[in-house]
Amino acid sequence: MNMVKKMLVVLIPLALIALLAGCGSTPKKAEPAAEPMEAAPVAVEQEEVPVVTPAPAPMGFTGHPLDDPDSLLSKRVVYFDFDKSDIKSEFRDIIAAHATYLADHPSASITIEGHCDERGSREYNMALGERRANAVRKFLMVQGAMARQIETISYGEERPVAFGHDEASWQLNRRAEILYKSR
Amino acid sequence: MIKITNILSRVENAAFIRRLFALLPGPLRRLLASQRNLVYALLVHILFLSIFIVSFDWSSRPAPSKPKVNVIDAVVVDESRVQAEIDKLKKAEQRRQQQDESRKRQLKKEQRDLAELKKRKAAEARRLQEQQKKRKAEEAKAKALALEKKSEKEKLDKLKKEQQALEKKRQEEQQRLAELEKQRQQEAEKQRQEQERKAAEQALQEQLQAEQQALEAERQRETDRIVNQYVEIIKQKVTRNWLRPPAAAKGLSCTVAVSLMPGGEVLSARVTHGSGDPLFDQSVQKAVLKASPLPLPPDAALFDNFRDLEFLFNPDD
Amino acid sequence: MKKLWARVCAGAMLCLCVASPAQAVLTIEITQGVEGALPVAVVPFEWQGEAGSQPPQDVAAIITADLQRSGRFAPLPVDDMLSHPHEGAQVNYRDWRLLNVDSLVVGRVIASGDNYIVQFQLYDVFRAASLIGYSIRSTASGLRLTAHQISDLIYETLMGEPGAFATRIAYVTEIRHADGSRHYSLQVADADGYNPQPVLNSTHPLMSPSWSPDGKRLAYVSFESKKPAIYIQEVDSGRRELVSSYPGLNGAPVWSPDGKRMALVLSRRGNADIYILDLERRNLQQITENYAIDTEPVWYPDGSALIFTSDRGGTPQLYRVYFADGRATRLTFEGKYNSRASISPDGKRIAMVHGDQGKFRIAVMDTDGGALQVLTDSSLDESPSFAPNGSMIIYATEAKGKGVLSAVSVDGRVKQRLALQTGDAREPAWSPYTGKQ
Repeated sequence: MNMVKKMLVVLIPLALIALLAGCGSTPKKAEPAAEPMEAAPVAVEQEEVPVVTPAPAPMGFTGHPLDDPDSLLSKRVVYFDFDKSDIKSEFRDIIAAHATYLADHPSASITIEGHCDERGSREYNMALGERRANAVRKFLMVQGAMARQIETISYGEERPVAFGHDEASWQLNRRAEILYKSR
Repeated sequence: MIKITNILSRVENAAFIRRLFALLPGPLRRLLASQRNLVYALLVHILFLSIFIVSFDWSSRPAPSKPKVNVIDAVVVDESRVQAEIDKLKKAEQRRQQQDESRKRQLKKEQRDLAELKKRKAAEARRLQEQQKKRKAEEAKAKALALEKKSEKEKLDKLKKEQQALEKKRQEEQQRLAELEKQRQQEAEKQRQEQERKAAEQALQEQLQAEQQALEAERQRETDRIVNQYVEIIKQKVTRNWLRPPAAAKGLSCTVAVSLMPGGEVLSARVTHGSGDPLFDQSVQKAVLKASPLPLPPDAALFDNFRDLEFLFNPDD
Repeated sequence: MKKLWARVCAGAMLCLCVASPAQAVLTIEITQGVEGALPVAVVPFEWQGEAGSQPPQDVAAIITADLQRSGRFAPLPVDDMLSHPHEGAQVNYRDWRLLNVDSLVVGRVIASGDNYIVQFQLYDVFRAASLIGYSIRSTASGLRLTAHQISDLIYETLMGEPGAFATRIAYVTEIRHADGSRHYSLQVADADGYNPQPVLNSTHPLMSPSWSPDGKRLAYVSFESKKPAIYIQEVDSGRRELVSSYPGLNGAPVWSPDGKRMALVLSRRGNADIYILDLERRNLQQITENYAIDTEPVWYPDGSALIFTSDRGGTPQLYRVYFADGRATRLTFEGKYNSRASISPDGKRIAMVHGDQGKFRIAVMDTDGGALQVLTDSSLDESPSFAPNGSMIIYATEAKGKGVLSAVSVDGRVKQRLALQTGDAREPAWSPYTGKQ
């Protein structure tokens, strides 16, 4: 016990120092992507904007920002863990982007659809889907969107996009989808 | 001890003792009667005490047998001396006669002396007489003493004899007792032997009986064993065939009276105590019917045990 | 008392047996039996009709399938039958005793004009007794129902409780077309899955069918207006009305036992809560009120309480609330996920979806609490529904990639998949007894 204590007495301050040093030195670092999702990690996207090509075509994307395939706004789906409705960190930027867009375009409005995978009971999943949609809605409003711009609806497990009976399909079905009714 | 009390009681009951007793004053009689043991003790003590006293030598002087001889010697000696003295005196008188006045005086003196001597002689004689008297008295005393001693001795001897007689008696009594004891023991021995003999006989009888019983019991046990064995087999077969209605309540029980044919076929199965649930009762009846023919022991003599059976269906839920 | 008396008698008799010679009656005590299916033989019914023709339905086969599905009977295969009697006079009990058959059903189907007469008799083979016998008139289309009714009569005579074969089930089917469009249908079929009749067809999802206590109406959730709304529809006429269409959720409609009220789930105030809708006065009473999800209510048969799913404790569990005091008590404590309760008609047991280590199965538990008994062994089971006699539970499961309906006896011993249907079938609801049967 004494040995351990002595070691701790030495190691803990050292660790603290290292931590502080680490904190001090790192600027904005990309957080590691937790899950293999179809949505690419946020950080990579940011660094790639704007795209610089040597082609004679005009730089950047001309067209509606909502249609820009490289824009965050093209990401319309937020995924969730089983029986959970909290927004995972990797989707915050996507939602923030949409919030910004909505804030900038007061006439735009969306419907958020909440969905679940097939496991568990159907009516409970209806309520869970609603909770997921509401979670996204809250997040949007915090980031600047207005309540009247957002509608929510839950489909529970009634509208899956993947039909397998395994985690690969289930994770794709645990989602909230943002659908623009008006831009 | 027993014998002595017998003696004492005989003594007590003796006629003269009774008369003596009657003479005593009332209170004393009662005292004596009540304190019999004390009285006897006292008497014994007195007896022994008297013996003791009697045997004690109260004389402080030596035995008088020798003084007899001394007395005779002393007289003889004195007589001769006196004669000598007289002779002497006669001689002396003669002398004196030869001598007158002086001798007269001397005579007178001598007379006087003679008178004194006479006195002395008388005194001596008296003393001697007294001595003789005394000696006689002493002799008498001694005699008396001797007599007493004799009587004492006789008494002692008597007592001793009595004692010896008592002893003898006692010993005889003891012997008699011993003989009685012996007799008794012999008789007891005899009885014991008798008893042992009887016991042995009885034991034999019992043994025979026991063996018989054991044989019977063994037979009965064997029968019971077979019966129980087959009861168990029948029980298992009926259990196997009893499909319990799943919807039936718990805690039901039902009794079915069953008659069998010698081969084990069920002649009839009748519900005698229903459970209240007809489905339950029916299932129980069916169990017995489905188990027919019931397995029976091959020994036909045992069939009577199984001719009529009663099944109690009592599931422990 | 009787038991005690019988025991005393038996004990006394046993004593007598031991002590006295062989004249006393031997008493044998049987303390257990075997649990199992009753061996029954349903002899193919004789057909008395036009020569060369066949009856529209194989009545004996329907009865056999019913009895088998209940889990309580073990029907003898026809090939094993030694004889084929059609009436009592032809019955030789010895033939059936040899096969260890407990009960024998014989009968005839007689053509009578456009209709039919179905005769049958039920025999107790070992007691050599005739138990019941009926003659039933039926139309061609009603022959299946008649067969089910005969199954009910046989079941009740031999089991002591009513059968549930002449009842119906409602369920939802979904067909996914190649072009991605989907077709939803609310179906009502016989309890064995035969004769499905669509009650509603839609291109939008349908959910949560629920029978009225008189068995004449169905309530359900439809997305036809692009959002979930509750409708009530008369099964026979097809007449329907919109009952609840509040903002947010409208779901899980359940009739009260007296048919006058409906429990449902609304989220009009922000999150899923349970309400009672008075069907006559159309006013709402809120029953649960908290930030958690409260859904899937079921009524106690005496109407005094609701059992519902709530995740107020973190994950979905079953709770009960008495109307008298309004306080919710938790009922399930085993496992992290328990939802979608269905209560037996006598109120003594509840079936539920029980999630354990990623598998979702049907489990039953005494309503008052106690150990959970898992009845199924698949992994994606849901929507349990009790038969009206409480002996079976119908539920939805997945087989070979398809949604199918299955029935399990309440002790878990027998499982049987229901008749095939096209598309995925789910959300079965077993109808109550109605006067019609």
